Amino acid sequence: MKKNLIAFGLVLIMLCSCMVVAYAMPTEHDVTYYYVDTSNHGSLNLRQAASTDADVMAQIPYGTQIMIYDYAPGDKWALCAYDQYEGYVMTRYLNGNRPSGRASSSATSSTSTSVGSESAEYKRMEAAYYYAAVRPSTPSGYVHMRWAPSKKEPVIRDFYDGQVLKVLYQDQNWCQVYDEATGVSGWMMRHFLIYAGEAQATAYTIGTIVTE
Amino acid sequence: MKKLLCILLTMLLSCTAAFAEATDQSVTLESPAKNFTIKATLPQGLSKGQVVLTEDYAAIDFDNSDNTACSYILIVAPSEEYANKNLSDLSDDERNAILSIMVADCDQVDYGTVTLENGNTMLYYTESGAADMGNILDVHDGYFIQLTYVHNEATPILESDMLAAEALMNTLIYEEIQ
Repeated sequence: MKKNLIAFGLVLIMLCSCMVVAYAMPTEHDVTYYYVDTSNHGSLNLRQAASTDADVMAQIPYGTQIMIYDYAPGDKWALCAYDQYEGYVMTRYLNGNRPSGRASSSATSSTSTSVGSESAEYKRMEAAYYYAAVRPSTPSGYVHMRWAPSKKEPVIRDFYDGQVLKVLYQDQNWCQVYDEATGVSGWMMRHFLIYAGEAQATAYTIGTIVTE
Repeated sequence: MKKLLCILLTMLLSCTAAFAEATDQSVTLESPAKNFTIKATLPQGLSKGQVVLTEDYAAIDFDNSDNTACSYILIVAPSEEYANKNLSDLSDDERNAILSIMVADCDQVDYGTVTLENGNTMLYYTESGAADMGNILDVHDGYFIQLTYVHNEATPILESDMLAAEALMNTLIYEEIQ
């Protein structure tokens, strides 16, 4: 009887352990893949903790695909695995799409300033409906929201790193965005927006699209 | 009587000088990781405005009592691409790379490097046309420190505005936090 009880207890403990491990293991749905996309085409630091003060364990080359397991609070740092290391990288240097261009061994950039055409044709726009985080070209910079999809158009206001906007329409270069906090809508270059989640399609009275 | 006048004049001059010194306001901004502070000396007419502290950046507004002049915002944000580096450590190619991506969102823009009175070299770019704004950028210990200036009434940036911004950046002192 005693032996049966001990055996039963051991089996129960093993079962519970398996459940805990299975719960903790990232599933296919929990893991996402991103590419390292630094503006200078240099490597990205993989750190021991979610802070620029943390020790650097490895440097992940530009364009490398990495597996993201989790995010630190605020989503500015992501937990990932690279080589034999597991650590944190800054999410502003990650891209869901494989970046173009080659890695730079000396962290200099064969930079092209071409991030989109000067202006867009409205008829090529397609409905989008997702949230996007603003990602200026530098951490301290800003991105213009303009009256129309052209760099020659006046600026309505500027947005800084991490501010979230709702994307309504887009083509390969421009997005019509809506700031839910202020009710302001305008156009922003798509290069400076990072996908941040799905949004509900909602009717907005913004203005009339005038075709030339 | 003459002695009394001399004494009164001396007192008046002393008070004026003390008042002039008192109007130069010193403000301090902490970096997001709290490893160093930035001290800036504001000239007469500028006052400390709103301070914003997030995980990504620290920002401070400088309001200008003169509506015909510029207001400023100073932002400090960490960069992993230039971690632990100063602007003086970067090559010309790296500086040009930073400038080229900063002006990618601009239409009519003038950009380059500027050497301040204290000998420090910084990056600058000035937009005109669709947006009238100026920027001066420094890199310190892997952090981007950017001063953006714009007229309250969105009028074009003048050379005097650029010189005033350079003078403000010239007062920056970085102090490590122990």
